[in-house]
Amino acid sequence: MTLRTLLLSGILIIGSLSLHARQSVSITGYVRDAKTGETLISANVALIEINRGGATNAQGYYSIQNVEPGTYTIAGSYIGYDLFTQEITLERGQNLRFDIELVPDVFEGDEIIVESEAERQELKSIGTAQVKTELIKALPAIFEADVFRSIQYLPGVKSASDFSSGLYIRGGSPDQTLIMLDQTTVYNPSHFFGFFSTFNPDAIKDVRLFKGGYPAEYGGRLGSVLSVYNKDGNRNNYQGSVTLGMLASRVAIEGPIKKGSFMLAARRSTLEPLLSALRQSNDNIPSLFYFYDFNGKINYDASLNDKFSLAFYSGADKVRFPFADDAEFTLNYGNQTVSGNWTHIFSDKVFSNFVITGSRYFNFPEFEFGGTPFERDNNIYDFSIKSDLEYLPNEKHLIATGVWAGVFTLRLQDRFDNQDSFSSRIHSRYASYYLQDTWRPTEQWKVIGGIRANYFSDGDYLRLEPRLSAEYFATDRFTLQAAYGRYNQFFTLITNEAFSGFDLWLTADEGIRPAFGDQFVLGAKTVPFKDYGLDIELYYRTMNDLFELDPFLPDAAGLLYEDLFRIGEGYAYGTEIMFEKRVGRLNGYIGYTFGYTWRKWPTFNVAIGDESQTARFYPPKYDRRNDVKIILNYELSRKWKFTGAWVYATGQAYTEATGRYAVYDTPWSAINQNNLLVVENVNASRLPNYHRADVSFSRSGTFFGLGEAELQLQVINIYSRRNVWFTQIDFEENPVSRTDVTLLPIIPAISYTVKF
Amino acid sequence: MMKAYLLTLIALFTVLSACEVYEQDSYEEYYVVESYLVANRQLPQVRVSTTAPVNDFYAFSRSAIADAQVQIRLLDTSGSSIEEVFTYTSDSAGIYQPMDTHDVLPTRSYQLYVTIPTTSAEITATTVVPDTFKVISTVLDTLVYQSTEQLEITVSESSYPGRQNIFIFNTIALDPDPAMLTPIYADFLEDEIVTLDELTNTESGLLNAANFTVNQDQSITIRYPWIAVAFYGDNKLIATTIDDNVYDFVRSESVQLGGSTLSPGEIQNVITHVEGGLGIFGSLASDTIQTYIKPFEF
Repeated sequence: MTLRTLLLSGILIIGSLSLHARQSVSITGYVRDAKTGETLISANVALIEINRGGATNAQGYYSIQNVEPGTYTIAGSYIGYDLFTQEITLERGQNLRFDIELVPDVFEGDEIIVESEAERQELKSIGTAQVKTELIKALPAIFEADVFRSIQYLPGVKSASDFSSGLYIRGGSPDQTLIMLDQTTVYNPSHFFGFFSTFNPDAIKDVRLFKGGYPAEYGGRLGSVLSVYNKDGNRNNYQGSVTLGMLASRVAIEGPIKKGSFMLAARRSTLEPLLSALRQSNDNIPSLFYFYDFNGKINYDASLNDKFSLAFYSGADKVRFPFADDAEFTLNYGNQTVSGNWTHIFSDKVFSNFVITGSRYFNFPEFEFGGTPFERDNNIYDFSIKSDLEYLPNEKHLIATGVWAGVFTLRLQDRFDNQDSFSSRIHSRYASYYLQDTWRPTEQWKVIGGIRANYFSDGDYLRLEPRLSAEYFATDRFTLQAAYGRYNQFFTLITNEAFSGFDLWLTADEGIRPAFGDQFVLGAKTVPFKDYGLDIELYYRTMNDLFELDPFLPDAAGLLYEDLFRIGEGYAYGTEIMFEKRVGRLNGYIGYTFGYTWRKWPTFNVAIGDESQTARFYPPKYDRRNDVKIILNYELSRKWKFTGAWVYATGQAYTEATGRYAVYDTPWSAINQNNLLVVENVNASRLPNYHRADVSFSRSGTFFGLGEAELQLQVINIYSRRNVWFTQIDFEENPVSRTDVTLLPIIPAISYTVKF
Repeated sequence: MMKAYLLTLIALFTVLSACEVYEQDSYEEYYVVESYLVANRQLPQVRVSTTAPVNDFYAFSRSAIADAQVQIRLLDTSGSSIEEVFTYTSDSAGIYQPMDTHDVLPTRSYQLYVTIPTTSAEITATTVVPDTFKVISTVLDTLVYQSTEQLEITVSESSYPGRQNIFIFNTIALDPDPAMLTPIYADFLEDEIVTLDELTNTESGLLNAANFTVNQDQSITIRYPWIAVAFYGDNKLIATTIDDNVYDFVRSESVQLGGSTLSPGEIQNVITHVEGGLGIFGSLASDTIQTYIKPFEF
């Protein structure tokens, strides 16, 4: 089946359904924040008398179809907002456009917050999680509020170390998560070599994470999808904020324009004074070290049914480090994205969204070492067009279909001693098409079935991915869920968990098949008590044809592309339990994950003496058996808030060498004795268990009457637990000595934000 | 309802706690061999020893095997049967010397065969010796450090079966006086990042032949980077091509304690191609030139 056949069949299905659609009353519209005009994703809209409704889509749009004429109470709700209700009368043949504005609840008291059932259901879709911007800003963070580090607090999501914001989700490596900003792929979303993510919390409206079993509308990665949406900007008033922090400071401004809004946010590190002071007493301090990013978005509502927006992001990290006489290291890396979006409502039954995206990742490290320069130019350009269509033939079906096609270009050029040493240009075309039906045969059942076809020009690969999920709403407090999906990945990330500044993406090609895997998820979402939730998910996933740069490859010059890689496999399984209190003065959650993840690579972890060289499965470093996360928010008073986080995890896997030997006569080496270790099983030992508590106190007030202000005081690792990152073996001592390399000690942080 | 929760949780833990067990094995002793054939040179010595527990004091003399039977066998051109056997005798504990004289033949296969009578252990390893080559360009007697005129050497055509040639370059200072160090290495020595001994003989790491310019006559011209020069004065430059065993040994050894894309602490065994034990039986071909490096004068 070709891509064209699939496209045609999708169009035909929609066409035939349109013919059968009957005249009926419908209500459609956007749900917005009354204060800012921001559209709200997954807000709930319902006609109370007939218990019919739905959730808004990613553009904040809802549609209720096939309603009998009459008078109803329409209700709109979203967590953190007052309940909206209004009586409406629907007349025969009428298609009512009814936009809803929800008023934010600023007090967040028990009695005012209304939990949206549809929103709860949407957020509780299998494998799905949402991180609120407020939580991102409230959580104690190492120097700077950070989207990825907030996500790391979710069950099923793990970090490699305190130094890394990389997301290891359900046993997958960071490249198995598709990261999108306003539907544009971001290839290296990190600052400070992986310490922070690039997403400025001031610019973010919504963060959605599909941990696994995700639906057909997404694709391209084996594991998960993280979708980040920029704010649209306040459509009613001009407002802004300035935040001064220890590591970085931020400024944001937003406001209305004619028929629309804009948002601009900027962030820059402010380490220069500290570096300057350190340079007085220490030679090994970079002479230049900063990062910055800009986010912006302009919205224009051309008509009631046509909305346009243009969003951009630009960020970079720059370092210059003269680390010895006649030796210097410089690095300049970053990302730029742009996306133009057109949302068009064809009719009350057909909603569409068209996006043009552009994404660039660049990375230019340079070493000048004793008169010998090494330079790398690494550029990724990804330009794509994307179209999504939602069609509601009746109240039982929501058919979604879409295409995504683009051109991916990777340019990699290495120069050593002023001569080209490696040059590669990968120019790939990719396309995908999906067709998905959300079917509600009864009020108790919701079934989402879909298929996705992916095409990748390098190697001429066409891959089909069936997806299926089912939810059974047994009672209003108990939902059972199951999902299956096939996933393919055409890209692999070359990185190091300790340093993401040199990140490099490579693609499938002839001889390098795309990686693929299956995911099976079972879940139960329950409400044991009012305002509480207890969710359980079990997952099992396979990973086949995993391809990654051979870590033992010293030099790529002259090798065939396929010889650069090792091809492996893996699988992961586990369970996640989340007990949460969603609302109230005291809210938060306890998350627990029990998981296994395994990998196998040819000739790696082979038993000594095994002549057949049979590789054995081993747990990668980020495999953690038990993982507990506790997040608590407590409103101490109207001015003071407390947020605390405690994390406990089984120690990371590492290799404990059992034996040693030495070679002495190596003709190419001046070292008289080359010491070597003997390993029986790779990563079969565990570091000491990891745990850490972080606290944050924030006080809101005013800044000399000019605007609202917030002072945030945070302490990371409050009891200064010296968690071990890895153990270093030193052969200078005989017997060998071991040194534990530890993670972050206690770190206080302070920030001050003024809103105007 | 609570009962249902409890039962579900208990069922979950029962299923999951029965999952796979993967534990570290205890120490096991292995035999270790070490020898390097150099094309057109006499047969080398062979070391035979054992591994030691990682936390024990290690010395070769403690681990040496004194009673091994050691042979190096020249295989026929097909590499399948033995053409000639060279017997070794113990020189000092664990170190064995050839009893016969024999110049190692380039492009031919050799097998190391070691038996330990006391345990009946048998250790074997095979190498294919790289083809020889010569430095065929005229090398300047004197070069000025970091001047635009860099050292270029052209080496004659040579080959290795099944792949391109892989080189290692060594720069050996003939007058390793700390006062003669180039600025960057002087700084490293001052900061105790390296020792003077380590700087006396610097190595390039593994470099594929495709890095260099291939001339019409298939010779290769190599531009020698200034980074390789640690000392002013007389320096010997050695170009070496290596066999698969040395290649695998060096590339895996260099990341055993970290680096590359491996996570810190994810240690793996060095690739040895030794059956019945560990170590290396490798081969190489090399040629040497000499030049004088003068400091740059402003």
